[in-house]
Amino acid sequence: MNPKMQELPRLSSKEKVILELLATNISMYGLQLVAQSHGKLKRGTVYVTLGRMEEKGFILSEPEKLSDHSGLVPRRMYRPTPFGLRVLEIWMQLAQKFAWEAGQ
Amino acid sequence: MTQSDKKKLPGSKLHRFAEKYFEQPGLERIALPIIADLQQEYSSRPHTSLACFFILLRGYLGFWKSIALYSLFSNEGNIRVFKSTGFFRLLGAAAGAITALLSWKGNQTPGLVSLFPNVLTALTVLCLLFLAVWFCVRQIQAHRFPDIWWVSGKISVPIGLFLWMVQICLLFKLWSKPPDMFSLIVTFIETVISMFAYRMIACVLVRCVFAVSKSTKAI
Repeated sequence: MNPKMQELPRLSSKEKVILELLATNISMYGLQLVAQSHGKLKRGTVYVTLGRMEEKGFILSEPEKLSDHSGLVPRRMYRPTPFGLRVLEIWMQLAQKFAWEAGQ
Repeated sequence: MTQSDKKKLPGSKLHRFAEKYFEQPGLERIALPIIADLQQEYSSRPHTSLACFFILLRGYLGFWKSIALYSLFSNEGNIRVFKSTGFFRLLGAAAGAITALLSWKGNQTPGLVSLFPNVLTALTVLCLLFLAVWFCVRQIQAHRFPDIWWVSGKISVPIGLFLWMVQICLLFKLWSKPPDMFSLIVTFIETVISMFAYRMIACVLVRCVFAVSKSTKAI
């Protein structure tokens, strides 16, 4: 097993926002994530967070396929991994449980 | 898109720079997506000169900010952005610190928080000085004290002027109205005085670099 996987996965607030967006949209690129986050993600830091999430195994990325020879650098499309979705799911359950306990 | 349009695409130099100096993960995960965003935005917006300027400014600042952040805070440091980490990590950190200083709200917050930008500024100055000293020493191989003094002067003047410009930018950013002539003159005098301080620091650093190079023969 990857030594990183033996540690308990941690999810920062920005990583949670990204996973939530990717869980509903399947595949997105960086600026789309920034635009749909309503100010929670900044364009200067989004790729740093995405890079870290890729290292953690939460997401996968691949360059978009450009049909024409436009000379543009292809954007990178991001999609969640099953592991990332599972972490988000457990994280949400945990958050709900704590919210319920706080309400007691 | 015509051949001439391809040539006009921004970020091509940045692309070549990144391909030359970045490790593959840093290139793929950070540099190329930012360059792609810059090019997509540039090619999809109306080409008024002001809009182009802001797209380019935002793109280039975002690039260096991301590189600085990624090289400093990548997960456990096992993935490197630059092929030559020491120099470029320092350069990236300095570039990132300057852009962060220009945009950080701590500058406007009274109390202890307002001290951090000053500490960052001091660190940035020291980093830039050390880099400049390192390169100058490599280039001219100065050994005598007059040479060292000349090298440190050559370094401190552009850095002093650069910092004066940064200070003026901060003044414009922090004040609602443009700074008056008196404030500009005062900051300039401050800068000239601090240039002497930089020169002294640079002088000490030159000697340190020589001491290190003598012991390790790295230079």
